[in-house]
Amino acid sequence: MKNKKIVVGVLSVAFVVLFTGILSGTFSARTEIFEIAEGAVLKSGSRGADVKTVQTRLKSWGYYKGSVDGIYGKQTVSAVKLFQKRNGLVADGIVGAKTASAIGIRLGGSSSSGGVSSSDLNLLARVIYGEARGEPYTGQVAVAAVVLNRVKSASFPNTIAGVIYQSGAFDCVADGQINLTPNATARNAAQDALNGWDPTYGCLFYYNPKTATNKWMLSRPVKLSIGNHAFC
Amino acid sequence: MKSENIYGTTEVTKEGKPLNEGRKEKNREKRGVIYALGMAIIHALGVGAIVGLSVALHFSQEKLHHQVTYQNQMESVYARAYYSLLDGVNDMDTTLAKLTVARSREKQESLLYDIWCASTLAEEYLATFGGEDEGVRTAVKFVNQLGGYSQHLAGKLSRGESLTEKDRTTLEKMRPMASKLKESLQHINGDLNNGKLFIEDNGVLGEFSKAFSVFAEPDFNYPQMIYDGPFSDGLEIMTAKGLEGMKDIDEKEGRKIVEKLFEGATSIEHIGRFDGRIPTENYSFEINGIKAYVQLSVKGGRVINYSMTATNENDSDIAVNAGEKAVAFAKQMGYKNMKVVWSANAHGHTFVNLAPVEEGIILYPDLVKVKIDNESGQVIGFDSAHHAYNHRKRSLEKPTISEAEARERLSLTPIAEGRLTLIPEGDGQKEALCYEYQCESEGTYFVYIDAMTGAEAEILYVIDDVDQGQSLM
Repeated sequence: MKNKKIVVGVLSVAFVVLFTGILSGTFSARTEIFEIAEGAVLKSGSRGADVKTVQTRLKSWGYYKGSVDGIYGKQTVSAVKLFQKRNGLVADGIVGAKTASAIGIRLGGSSSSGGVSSSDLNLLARVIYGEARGEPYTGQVAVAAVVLNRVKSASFPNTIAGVIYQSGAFDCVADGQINLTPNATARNAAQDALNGWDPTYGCLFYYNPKTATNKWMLSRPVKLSIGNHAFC
Repeated sequence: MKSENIYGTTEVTKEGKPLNEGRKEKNREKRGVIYALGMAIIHALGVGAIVGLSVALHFSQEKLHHQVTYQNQMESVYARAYYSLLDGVNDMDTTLAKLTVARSREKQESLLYDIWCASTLAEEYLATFGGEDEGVRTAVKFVNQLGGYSQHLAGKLSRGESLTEKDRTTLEKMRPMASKLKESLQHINGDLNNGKLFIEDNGVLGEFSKAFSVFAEPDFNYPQMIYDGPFSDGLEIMTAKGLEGMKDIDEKEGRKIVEKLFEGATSIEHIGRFDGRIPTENYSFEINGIKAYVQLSVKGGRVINYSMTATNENDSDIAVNAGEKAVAFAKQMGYKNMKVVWSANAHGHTFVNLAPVEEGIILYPDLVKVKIDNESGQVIGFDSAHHAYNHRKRSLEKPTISEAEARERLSLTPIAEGRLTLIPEGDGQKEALCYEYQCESEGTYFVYIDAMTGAEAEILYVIDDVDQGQSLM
């Protein structure tokens, strides 16, 4: 009888442990993803002391041939890729948490590209990333250009934040994708748009003809199509 | 203990138990273990269920609590936006009424600035609510244009001019619309007073945009607003003045132009036509194994936009500075007499702005922009949309104010002599001939003095930004 009780006890505990394990597992997995998304990375276009450290190390190990200038350029990208390949990491040319620890550095919270940054550029890059990250580059610039054209238009709010967060205006705001960390491409596209490149030549709307249901939108004459988006 | 077997003798186990008894015991033990296992599973499931349910209950209650908090917070955000909007619209309406009776220029000016303030407030809060509805959009447009127009008129009065009959007529037309907007909002006010919430089933939020449906009706008469300022309709009907009178090209002619402009271009492909404000024929091609895109204007076959990805190979003349390279590239694309007026460095790229120079005057409205990859020194982007919109034969007047006279109007000492420039005014709807001065005083300023009137036309301040390089504000 004693044995039975012990067996029952042990098994119950095991089940409970398993149960809570699954629960806590789910939670910790979520925090992990969050940390990676929030963590600092060095990538093409980054500048500063951290980039210099990466370049110095990669140079002394023979991966990097360029000058140690603290600018993350194409040569640095290829050096990082080579280092990643040889060390069994994902060769994306970006120094994230794993690559950084393999190189033997700790990334601070503020790499220079994420440090003092213009909020407009950031917001635009987030919209591009949330709305059009799978689109061709011109299509990404075009999405940002639509935002800027709306700022200038009388029919829309007069600030970049006002246009982006106008209720119902952008799907990525409604589904939360605007809160993802944009990649370098999205940031470059935002920069190009802020610099005045408007591939749409004044368009105020765009939609995906495959998924759009808004009748009014579908009735507007399409001026141009880039990738999956029709601009009007 | 004894037991009889088939031989008639008695088998005895070691412990003295008969064998049969031992088997029964074993079976009993087995059953015991199974029973224990079964009980364990039942217990575990029971305990698991209790723990699971209580955890779930805990979380769901916490979630519900959070949800209620968030909902209340959102409710107050919407309520605040609504009441501020109502304030703004009421102010717009009453101030417009006062303006019709104001006679003195000073009073008119201050009332017009009040309308501008009220409409800025109203616009900001109106945008909190659904923006994809046509009625709301027309309402936003009205509020923005009333603000922009008031600002424009106030500016006019401050320069010593008076309101014309036409200005008054336009203001008259705006008044009934302000009243309409007020009515739409008061309708919602009734619902709120009856205890309806913004966020609930069939709440006010869902109905909000419908209140503006009158603005979307086809017989709703909205005047076209053309004035020199922001939100003017003139900006939306902007045309490519720079290409007027040029001959249209077809797909084949465009292909030839690409061949001519980009030496060594292969696999040239026509990839469609854009029918925007500047209609273009678009081509993709390969140059040194890299894919590039170019847009040629249908009118005149000018290069409006060009882009490519930089290669790993360095440009042969990497030592040449970005400015010179940009000027040379613009020349290759057919834009001559261009001068570097601005360059900024960001994300491994240098952005160079070029402007044409005519009769010694820098034409800022006709900018051409060139993007250069810092690593390879290659030109990776080119855009001449501003040039296409604005460049034309202008009759440039001689300045009536001398450089020395203009300099006296400055509050700071410039670092160099002023140079003559044409700058865009009123969001590009007007142009003014100005002396440009660069001044340094805890930062860099560009001050523009009107070469005709001596007025301070524009002040720009240079902002250094790690992310965006240098930019002008």
